[in-house]
Amino acid sequence: MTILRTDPFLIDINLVSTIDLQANISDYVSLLENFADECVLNNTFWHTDSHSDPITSKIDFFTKLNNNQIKSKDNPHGAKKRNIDTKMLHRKNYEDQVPDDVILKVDSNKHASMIDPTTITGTKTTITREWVLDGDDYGIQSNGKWEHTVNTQAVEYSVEEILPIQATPPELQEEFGMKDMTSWFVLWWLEKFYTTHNVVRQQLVEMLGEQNEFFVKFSDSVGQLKNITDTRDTSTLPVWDTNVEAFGLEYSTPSTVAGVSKYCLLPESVALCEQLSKNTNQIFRSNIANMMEDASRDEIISGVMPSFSNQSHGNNLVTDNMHITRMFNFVETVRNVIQDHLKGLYGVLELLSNRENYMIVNKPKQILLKVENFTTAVDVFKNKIKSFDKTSESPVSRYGKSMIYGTNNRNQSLSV
Amino acid sequence: MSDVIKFFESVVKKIDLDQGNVGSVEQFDDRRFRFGAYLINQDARAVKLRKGNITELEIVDDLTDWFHHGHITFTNPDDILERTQSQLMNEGDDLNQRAGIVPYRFRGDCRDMLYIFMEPHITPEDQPTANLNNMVHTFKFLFTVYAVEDILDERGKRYKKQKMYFHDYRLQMLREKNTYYSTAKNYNILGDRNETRTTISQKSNANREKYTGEIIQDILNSSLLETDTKGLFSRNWEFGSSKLFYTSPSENKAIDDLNYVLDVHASSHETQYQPCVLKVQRYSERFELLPLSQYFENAVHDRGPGVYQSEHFLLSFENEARNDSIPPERKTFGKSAQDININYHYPDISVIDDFIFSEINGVDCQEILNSVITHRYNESDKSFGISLVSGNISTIQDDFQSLYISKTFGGENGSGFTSWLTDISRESNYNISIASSNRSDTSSIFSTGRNKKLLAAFLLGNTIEFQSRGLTSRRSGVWIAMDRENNYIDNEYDEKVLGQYFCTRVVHRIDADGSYNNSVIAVKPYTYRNQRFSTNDILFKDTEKL
Repeated sequence: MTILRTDPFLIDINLVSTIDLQANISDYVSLLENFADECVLNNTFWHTDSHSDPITSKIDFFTKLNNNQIKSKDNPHGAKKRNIDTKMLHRKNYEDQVPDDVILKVDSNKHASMIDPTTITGTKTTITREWVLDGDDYGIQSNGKWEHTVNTQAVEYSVEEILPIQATPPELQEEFGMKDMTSWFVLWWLEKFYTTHNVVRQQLVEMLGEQNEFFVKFSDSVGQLKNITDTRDTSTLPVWDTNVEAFGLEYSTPSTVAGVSKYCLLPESVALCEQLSKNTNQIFRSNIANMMEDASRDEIISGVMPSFSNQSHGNNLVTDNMHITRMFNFVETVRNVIQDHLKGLYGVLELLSNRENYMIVNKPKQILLKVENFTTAVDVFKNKIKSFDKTSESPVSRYGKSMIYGTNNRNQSLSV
Repeated sequence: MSDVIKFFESVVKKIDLDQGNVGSVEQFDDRRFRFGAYLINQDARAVKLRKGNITELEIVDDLTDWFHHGHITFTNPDDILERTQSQLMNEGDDLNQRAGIVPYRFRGDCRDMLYIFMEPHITPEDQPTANLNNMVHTFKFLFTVYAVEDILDERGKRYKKQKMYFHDYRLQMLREKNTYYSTAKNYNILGDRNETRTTISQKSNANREKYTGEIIQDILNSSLLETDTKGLFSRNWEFGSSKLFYTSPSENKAIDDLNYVLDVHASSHETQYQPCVLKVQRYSERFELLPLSQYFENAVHDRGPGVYQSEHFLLSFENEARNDSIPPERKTFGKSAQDININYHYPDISVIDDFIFSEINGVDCQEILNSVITHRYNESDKSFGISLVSGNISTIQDDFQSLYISKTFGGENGSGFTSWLTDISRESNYNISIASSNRSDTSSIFSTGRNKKLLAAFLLGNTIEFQSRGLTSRRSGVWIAMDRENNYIDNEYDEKVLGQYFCTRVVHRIDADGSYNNSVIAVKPYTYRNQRFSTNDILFKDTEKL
């Protein structure tokens, strides 16, 4: 079954501090539909760096994470900023789409007053300051004074309609933690734990105990025994299969890469190893097949050819083919033992073992983000995306006026 | 006249400091002036410095300083100014009848105010003294005393004198005040401005700039009394066309801010980014910031005197021409067109017997009036550049001629001809000076490079210096005419010396003998016609070759 997954790194980019801001000032919103709680979690963790005592904050964070007690809904450190009215954010987006000198018409709540979802109204005020004659004109001896004239006119502007996720924020759980996450996220937080400050690690382990479910020593070499396909190697597959195809394409090639190593290898590398194994065994077996007879006699023995291991091992080059069958009988047992041992991390082991079944979503080519009243294209590191074509603009202006790619000008200098 | 000066004038009247000489009429040589000098401070200590006690008074009016300053020395026998407790009631028989008085007590904190006024006395003897109060012929100054010293006399303490140094009280205010000024805080700019949602603190530096002329007004407004600035800026104020984002550094006093902005200020595009001069007009107390060309434009009007033409002087001379010979070409518009404020001439005063005429100094000509190469930086595209053509001395000379000298009275197509010279070495950049600008707009380049040369060419040119019997109307920043009344044989020297001069420094001086005179320095950077000097450099050296 294909599971909807995303690379946790794509959530942990610290784009903005809360998901309500993320929904309203960036187009990086599709992940909020499926991973909203995970986003809150990452925002909250980033926020611990801002605390006066990040060590204690991080210990507290990991403890709650372990106990599924991270507040998700309305979390001010990751979900919703205090005192932010979402409709005020919408107003801000509308304002940033129109020239700076347009003052929007607002209702009693100071929300933008719209004619329709794509049209706003406002006013434009021009102040003219002139140095004029003060009193009578005495030519070169005259005095001057400032005179101000104010001229206001009504204007209408088209704006981009707000997105559904801006109108309806994503659903969040009350509390969230390790048990609610898919394996990839568990692995991600495990890595966060391993790479955090050693004081955090020590104190957390002291609090949770060395036998806790998640924050333990974990290695991907655990569970090598469950990789049964590794038993199909040159010692168990028959030598007489000179074409390396007797059991079909999948099961005939002797394994040359240990199962845990495959976790780390590129699929291309694994395929190469298999191809090399097949080719070398084809040559080797073709040459050695002539030796498959009773070595005690210096003549060809007619009769049944050496075959599977139900034949006598006294015969030359007979492999232990039954080993594979015996191992498969213990598959469930091995898995149960490993599962009991790893508890919540068994899913992580499965994840590492079955990488082929991923469907990565939300990997952005560019993120359109509000930067200083402009819709600016950035990458996941929040670097402004540049282009050799200086005339092209960011494709939408929902979060502010479109930004020109590749310009070195500051946003302010591009304003009206 | 500002309210502050009116206030001190009223104080003098209220406490009756003119007792015994209500009209303040004083005799100076064979003339009478209304004159008074009063020392007043906020502790209700006030004293009139009688003219007879004054041994020296100098009030300096210099074009390069927008304010007046000077010093006064008066007799102070036995420190009487601060020691006396009483004075005789009558000059008659009973010397024991004395009235108690409060002596003056110096504060020493620049709050000892010196109020001086002077104007010609025009009322006939048999009529009550009237005030002239004329903006040209009356001066009223309010100074602060910034230093005091005793001057001993070898004859003993009965001849002791006191000397006070003073300058305009507005200068003192600017020297004291730390302004919290920033163009970002006071963004209300000349011209059209759209009201924006973005607050000024969030705007770019470019959007927080103001015209330098506005900044100068702002600095004066923020550091001087409201009564000294409100309605007291000229209608012709030159705002310039260059904008500046300026925030007063914390250690700066207002005078530092003012000097900085004045240094980078240049006139508008319409007047070709020239240097400007800040002045406070006497009597009206109006601040003026005018491009230099404005002074030239008001020197001559329809071949007659312009509104900035003040006194018409005649040089006395021994004539070698006969009265019946062909009269020379007139070097001025003559003294016939005159009124009380323009081109006035007093036969007994406006005559110069002797004068010092100084040619432009050769070293100034070679070392200052050379080509200026301006290195500039453009902040928006982070590029450096060099401006060569606009600062070449031949270009500057052309600008000088077209902006200024073409408006003078002369014989070269009706106008004069620039008197200072260039040569091939300076025009070919073998003799240069360097300026740098951290901005790259024309105004900034000109203000740091070319304009300094234009000012130098104007102020360091041919100069006349003379002493004359005093007139209260004399001041810097106006033109005076020098001419000969009788016929003479035309010559190149008179083409150089006669004509209109621009007053750069006037000193009003009262001496111990009671005389009142002026010392005048004026410049004339043009000749009546082109005298066709060679522009070759006999000391030319191609310094590029080894």
